[in-house]
Amino acid sequence: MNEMIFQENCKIATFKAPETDNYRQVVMDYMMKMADYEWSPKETFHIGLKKNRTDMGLDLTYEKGKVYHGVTYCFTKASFDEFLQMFEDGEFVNNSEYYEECVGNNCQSSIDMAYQQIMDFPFFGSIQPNPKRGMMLKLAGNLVLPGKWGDSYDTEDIWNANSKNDVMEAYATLDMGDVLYFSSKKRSGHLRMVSKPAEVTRFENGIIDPENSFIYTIEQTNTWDTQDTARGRNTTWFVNRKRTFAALYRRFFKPVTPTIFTSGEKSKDAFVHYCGTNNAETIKNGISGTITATFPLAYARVTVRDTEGKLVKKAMKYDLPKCYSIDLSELNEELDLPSLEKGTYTLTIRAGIARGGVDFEKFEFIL
Amino acid sequence: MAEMIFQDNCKVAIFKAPEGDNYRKIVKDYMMKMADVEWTPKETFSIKWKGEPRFKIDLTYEKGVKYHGVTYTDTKGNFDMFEQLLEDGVFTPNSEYYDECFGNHCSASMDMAFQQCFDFPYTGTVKPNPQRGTMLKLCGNLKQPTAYGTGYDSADVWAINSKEDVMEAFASMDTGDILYYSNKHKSGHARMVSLPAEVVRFENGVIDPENSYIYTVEQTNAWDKTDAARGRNTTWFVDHKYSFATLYQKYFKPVTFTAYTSGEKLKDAYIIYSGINNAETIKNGVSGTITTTFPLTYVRITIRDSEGKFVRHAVIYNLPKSYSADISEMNEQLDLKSLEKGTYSFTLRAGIARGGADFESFEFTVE
Repeated sequence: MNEMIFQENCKIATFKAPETDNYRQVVMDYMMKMADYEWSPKETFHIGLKKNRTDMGLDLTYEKGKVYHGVTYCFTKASFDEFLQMFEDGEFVNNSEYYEECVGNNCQSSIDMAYQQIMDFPFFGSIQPNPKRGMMLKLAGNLVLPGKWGDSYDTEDIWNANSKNDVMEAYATLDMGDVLYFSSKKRSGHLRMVSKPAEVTRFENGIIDPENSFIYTIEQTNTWDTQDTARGRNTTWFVNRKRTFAALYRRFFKPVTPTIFTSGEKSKDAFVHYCGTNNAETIKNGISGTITATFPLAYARVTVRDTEGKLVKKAMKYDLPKCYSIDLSELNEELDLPSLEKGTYTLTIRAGIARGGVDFEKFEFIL
Repeated sequence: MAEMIFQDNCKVAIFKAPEGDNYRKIVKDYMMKMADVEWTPKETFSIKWKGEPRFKIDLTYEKGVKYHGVTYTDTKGNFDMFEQLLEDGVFTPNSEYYDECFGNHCSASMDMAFQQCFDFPYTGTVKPNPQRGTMLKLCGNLKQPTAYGTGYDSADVWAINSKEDVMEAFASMDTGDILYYSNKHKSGHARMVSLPAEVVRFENGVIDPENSYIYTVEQTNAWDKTDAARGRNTTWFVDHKYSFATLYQKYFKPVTFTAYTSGEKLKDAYIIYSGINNAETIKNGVSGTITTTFPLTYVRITIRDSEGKFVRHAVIYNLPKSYSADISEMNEQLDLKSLEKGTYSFTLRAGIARGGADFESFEFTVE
């Protein structure tokens, strides 16, 4: 028999699967939602690297009073809903100035969040076919994987195992929601999501003209968009950047597609459930309970506000690479309720997956 | 944002994913559990067609005789449900019809076994097609006939693959794989492979089809009269031995699960009950919902008298591809108003292939 765990007095949030079968559009729409969100920081802040790295540069300053578009560029795998939780009085309050700590997402995790709109697709550090992804991804077109299933590989290995012509034909199959993934065993990679069907031009003999064939992408980046695609916005989100097949090949961007786009597989409902009892009485001993999800959890957050709605305490589990459950009692130390002054407060427990979040508890308590 | 439904006061049964990566053994073990269950009927009963017979069924289970294995019927029952219906090892059929009596048949029994590992709903076939997404593939290097998604049978597979390729595909088979005879013009049959294929080759390396074998376990419409029955009365053929030549001649195509080799990890399965049923509310009938993340097999409400004797039940079962049930739909079948005065116990249970859980259990009085 399977081990069975039975829980009573639970609260369940069911995030329904997208109604449409056009999964490409669903993931693209979510990318655009993250890219288009307009906001201003409460105070000027800088995003820099906590750990010195030689493989990437990062020098982003978000200035007070300026309007920005798109979720902040950080390494913490934030969903759109999670990003929204960081606003106070309509302004973004950063929790850190470090790339590794500030709430936001980067090239890959933004795509993970978009894919999690349609499938249980946890963050792993790569978006390419491998055993951790099971059958969820495949190389586009007829490209073959180098080595045997499970061997590590980078784009160069794929280029070596396939002809340039086959790679061009694979590029030609790309459509909205697919991925272009530069990976190298020697340095950091980068990912772009395809935002439109590939534009393909062929020579008279039928061979693809790589200089005149194009792919448009949307991507979360570590720099400000200074091109026309920014449409005058301050944004790190490059929307509908146009690149030739030739440039993509030269820069080792391998084409990857989720199998769900073509297999007939149906997207599933996602469940987040909270099991626990937290109220004005129990809170004196701290918070407890568990959050469990069938899709990857993006975060759980506890906030305490005073009678005027001002945030006075917060604790958060976030930057979750592959997480399906959270023990809320682990937030007690960060929340530090014993240090609160006497008064009346409102405590909220919220948790979210990429599809959205929900307040599982909200109550007043008196100290 | 995805549509979100919020429910309070739920009960959740979490059926943990089986431990271990040997998925083949997990599905085989479950088949054997269904094959080995020992029981005897309360009264003699026959299983027959309700409507026009599609194939021969002539099974009589006789009172006083011991049987092994879940009954052969078309209602997609799992082991847990069958076990619930046994009172001290005695089975009381709810019908004599193949289409109504609790039990399972060749492909449904295998579906239940596969559901130990995967969210693999009954769809009527166990071959690669869009309903199965990327879960199944033909064994070896066999090509799939016609465009993906169009109907095909074994003859179509034989037509586009050489006999030698089919033999090599047979040779690759192992525990938990599928041999599936399908024909556009008549009923099919499915067998689960129970041991790794035994392969004999000629000196030139070509497979000897007459002396190469596959062993299977299968739920059938006939009594096992062979030594494999081990003196049991059973419709479950355990470790029957078939030559490659026979399997080819009889059009059993070889199918396997991609998860056996892809690296995909198994997931926990959830049953969520939302509702309030108690001694007070029962006066107005039952209500609530059952929701699952793996296919729902059944929901059963049982009424027993104060001595624990079975009085009546209502069951939602024979569910081809279902992930939720409305408990209020059981009121008519349950017919609580016709209960005589007295004290009764009420149990609400629901199950997926991995097992079942009692979600409500209380006493009530009819005055």
